[in-house]
Amino acid sequence: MGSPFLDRLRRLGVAPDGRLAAAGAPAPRPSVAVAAPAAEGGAPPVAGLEREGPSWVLTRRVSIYTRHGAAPLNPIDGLPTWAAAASRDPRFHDIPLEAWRFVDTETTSLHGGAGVWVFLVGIGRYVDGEFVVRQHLLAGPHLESDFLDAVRREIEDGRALVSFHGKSFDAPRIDDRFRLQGLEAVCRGRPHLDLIHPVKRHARNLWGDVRLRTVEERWLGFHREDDLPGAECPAQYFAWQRGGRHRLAEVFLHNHLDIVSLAALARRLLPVYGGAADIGCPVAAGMDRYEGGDPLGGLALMRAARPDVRVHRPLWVRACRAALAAGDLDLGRRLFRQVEADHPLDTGVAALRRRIDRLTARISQVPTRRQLAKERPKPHT
Amino acid sequence: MSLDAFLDALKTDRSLSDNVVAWHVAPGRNGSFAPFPDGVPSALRDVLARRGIARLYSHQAETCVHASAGRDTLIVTPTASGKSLSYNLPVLSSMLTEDADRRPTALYLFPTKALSQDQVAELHGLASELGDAIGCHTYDGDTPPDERRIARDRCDILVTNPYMLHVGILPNHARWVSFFRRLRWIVVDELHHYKGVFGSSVANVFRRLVRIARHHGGSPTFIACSATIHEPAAHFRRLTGRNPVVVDRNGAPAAERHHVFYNPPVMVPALGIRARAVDHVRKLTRRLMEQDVPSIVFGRSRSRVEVVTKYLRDAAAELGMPESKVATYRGGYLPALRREIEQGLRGGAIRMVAATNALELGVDIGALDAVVMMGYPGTIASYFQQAGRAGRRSGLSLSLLVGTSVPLDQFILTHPERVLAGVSESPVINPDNPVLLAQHVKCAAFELPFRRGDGFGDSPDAAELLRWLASEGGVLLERGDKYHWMADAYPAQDVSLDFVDPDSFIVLDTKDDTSLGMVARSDAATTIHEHAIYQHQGEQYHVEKLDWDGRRAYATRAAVDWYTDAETETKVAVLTEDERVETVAAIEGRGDVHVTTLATVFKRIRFYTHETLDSGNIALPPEELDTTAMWFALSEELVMRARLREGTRAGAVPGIAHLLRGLAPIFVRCSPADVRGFGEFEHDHFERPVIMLMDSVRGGVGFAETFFAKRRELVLAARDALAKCPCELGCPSCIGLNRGGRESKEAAGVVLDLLAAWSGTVRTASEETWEARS
Ligand SMILES: [Zn+2]
Repeated sequence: MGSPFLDRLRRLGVAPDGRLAAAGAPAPRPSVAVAAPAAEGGAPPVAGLEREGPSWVLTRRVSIYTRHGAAPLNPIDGLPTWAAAASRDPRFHDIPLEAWRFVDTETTSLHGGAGVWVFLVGIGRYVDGEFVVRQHLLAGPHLESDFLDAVRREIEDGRALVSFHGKSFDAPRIDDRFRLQGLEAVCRGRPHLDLIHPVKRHARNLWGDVRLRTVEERWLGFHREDDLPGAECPAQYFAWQRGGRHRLAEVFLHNHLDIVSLAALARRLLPVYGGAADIGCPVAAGMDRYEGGDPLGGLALMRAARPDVRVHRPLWVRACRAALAAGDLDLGRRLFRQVEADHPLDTGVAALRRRIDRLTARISQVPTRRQLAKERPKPHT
Repeated sequence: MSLDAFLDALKTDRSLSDNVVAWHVAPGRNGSFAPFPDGVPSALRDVLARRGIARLYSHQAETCVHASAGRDTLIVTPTASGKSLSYNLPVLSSMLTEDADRRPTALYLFPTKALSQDQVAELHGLASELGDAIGCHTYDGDTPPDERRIARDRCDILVTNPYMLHVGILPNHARWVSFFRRLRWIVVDELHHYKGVFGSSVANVFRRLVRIARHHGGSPTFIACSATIHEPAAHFRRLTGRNPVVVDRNGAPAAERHHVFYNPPVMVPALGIRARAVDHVRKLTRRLMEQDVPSIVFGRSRSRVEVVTKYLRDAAAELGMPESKVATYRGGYLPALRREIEQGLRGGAIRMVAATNALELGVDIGALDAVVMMGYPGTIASYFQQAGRAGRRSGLSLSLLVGTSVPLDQFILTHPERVLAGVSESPVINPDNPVLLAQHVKCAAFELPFRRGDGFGDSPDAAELLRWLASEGGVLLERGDKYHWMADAYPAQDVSLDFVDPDSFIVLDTKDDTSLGMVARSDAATTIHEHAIYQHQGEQYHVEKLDWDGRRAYATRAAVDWYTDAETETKVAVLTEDERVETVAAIEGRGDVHVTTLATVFKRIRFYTHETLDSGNIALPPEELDTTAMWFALSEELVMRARLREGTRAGAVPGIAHLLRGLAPIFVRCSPADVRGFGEFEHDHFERPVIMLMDSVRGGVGFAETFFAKRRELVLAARDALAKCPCELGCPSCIGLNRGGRESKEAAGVVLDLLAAWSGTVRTASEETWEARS
């Protein structure tokens, strides 16, 4: 108190959060007392949270015979094959379901950067008729290396990751924390099925968004009540860390439900891939199969598609090319007519039109307009 | 030789020679050479030999030896002295002598993208000729995401700018671990460019950079290049916190160069109005074309360059030359077009180029014989950079400065020795401005927790600041022995390198809603009020609308022959007196002030004649500013001697403030907007007349301290400028318009005489160098 530097700082309107007050309105004088230390040694902030070595863990078990909303959780055959196709990663063929780790994190900011803490890592897996979720809590920023050790053990105990949007969000953030501690990254290079990609392929054109909440409601029949919005999670962690009132228990629940949804969603998407589903898009499923190493199965799925499915342009263009490459001109024409009706002016669609014209001409031996134009004698200049 | 003929005409033709106010011949010089130092691997020597470089200039070899020994090195040499090889040599040598996984990395920093283009092209050329081994990547706002990933993953030389480093790289250093772990070189080109708020901010970015590099195990050496500035090592130290070895013996050869200063004649003596510079440039360039001297004309604005281009084309037509011999050159031209102009110049297809100052830096358009500057380019460094465009390695060259009537031009033309000594103004920075410091400590804490007791560069206030940021409502949390970032934010995003106050105004072009520029909030009421003429890169824009709450102004390009000048009511409260020297003439001091400014009216004033056309009211809220200032509080004795209470003579007080502010850019590298003048006959704090110079940035970036240290020089320069100003009634070049006319101009002279005679009981080193030079 009374230091010339702090006096100047206050006069210049710099608040302790570094923000600048409007010129001429000095920042309020806060007390310089530091908040009481968080409950690192004291009572756990959430009921059921237990010490495991230096780390805090909450374990919850869900029977695989319960339903998550309307969606079953029990594993079914074929998940690894589907995962290999959906993630375009053949390593999944050899990874049994028990070695999958369903991952979701809570961070202190949606922005990236070195100052963003991953404070809660929830990891779910199938064990003996149960789906077990273990949630690791960062008890304080100074305890991060112990926390990361626990997270590493949990992840390395499995052989693959399953997430929703985790390939570009959760995994890089977890790895960043390891690198910042001078440790080897743990997620990078590991087989990773990010469910947002198949969901995007199937749903983008149906709903207009691909948030997990929407997927839960539409495909899992699961509705959350009083769920703490993700954007409010960081504030709860800060409040706890600063010794204030917090709703950290709700953050744990929020994270837990996300992870159970991952398992239910993987289970729900498999029949789509098999072509026997009430949800999703058969063309997307066909392309999953086609690009995932089963071209014949993929084409068969696409052939079975009803004509009234909603068209997603880039997917349709790809599917149409695939059909033409496989020599299935009928399927190619059908897909093309669908996409052409919606996007007549698109350049990709125009390219397809030329290609189909060409193939048709080759079959019927009728010269195309282009060939005719070429053969027309040119005027001399 | 044709240039000789032109120089003859300049000497003998009275219509020209009468206007020549200074003629200085800088003699030619042979190069001083040195062999390659031992550490330079043969692979690199071979590549250079293929480019015709078999030996080095002495300063290149010297730099290589010092830098390779791990010493921070500062190269101070003029334009076109091969400075990029000076830093590429040690950097590339170190890379070629280590295995790929242990290879040192280098960070190359240019103030802006535009300034880096040619250096980067040269660097890429060298790196690729050395094989694929060395990965050289540019990382800036235009780099596509895929290339960014490649840059992060395998980059040996990273070329970027301070903005990208600040907002993109440092906050995400976890993705750059392998780069920072091996970081050995930080190359900073154009060091003199880092001034004011920008320089002060970048000094803090360097503090953050070194901290991050150290954390990952890197231990970087700085190599910097600067134009010839006053006290370069001191500037380097303020910017990086380190003491450099200075390499300033230039080994590059130079041809004889004539510096001619040309002042168009006075046309209206009472108001000191001179003939227009552009008309004389027209006359002079026509003579150059007659003699077929390959030349370049620099103008301060695009529109003036357009006018000159037209004149050049007309002259070409009259002389029966093809119009294609005349080219225009602007910033933002693509490399292909630049090469075309270069080749045209080399082959003789182009003989005349008109260019804006954008060309000044970082671009090499080949050798010309004459440079014509239409108006003083603002700083001595810029003057030499432009002059450096002329001059082949042998033969002679000409640099011809044609003055305009602005005060700075007139001062320079009457004091050519200031320019010709070749030492540029000191860039002033203050990395410890509390506001900037707080912002960057915030960013640094986001990047890496501070340990208790850690410093931040050489800032004396880091410990206190960290405690403040960790206090209630703060962004840091103290746990273990560290301060940890604990907030939902990305602080670098909210911290501008160019402004202290984040809520600056943006000026939009009504034509296409593109941004013309930013205006600090403290200047908004006086520069972008409705109906103001806003100056942007020498062009004029009429402000149509000011959205105060939205912090936006909308302006339309307007070709008018008047400008606007806002009048303000200003109150300055003195909060601290950090230094105080009392002499018979005045209390000379500096300290913190609180400034309240209310813009009241604006006037439309015609260019050249300075007549007031009309005026209007400004209705905007008052502006509050906490900053630093230096002052002269005049003694009663001085007031009596100068008879300031008589008639209109009190007008001398604000008049001198106006004059001092106008001359400020001579002493430090600053623009007029960086500094404010204030004069008040009865000032509450001192109960005396006060003349003040204030920093226009919240918290100050060091101008007040610098002006205080140089106050005697300032007074002497002002006295001199006033005495030499040809006006009778006071004009914008001296004490300003309407400040009491002849009487107050005379009184101002007396005040400055007395201040000069009685002031300065404390002498500083910089004063002595000034006296030695003048
Ligand atoms: Zn004057």
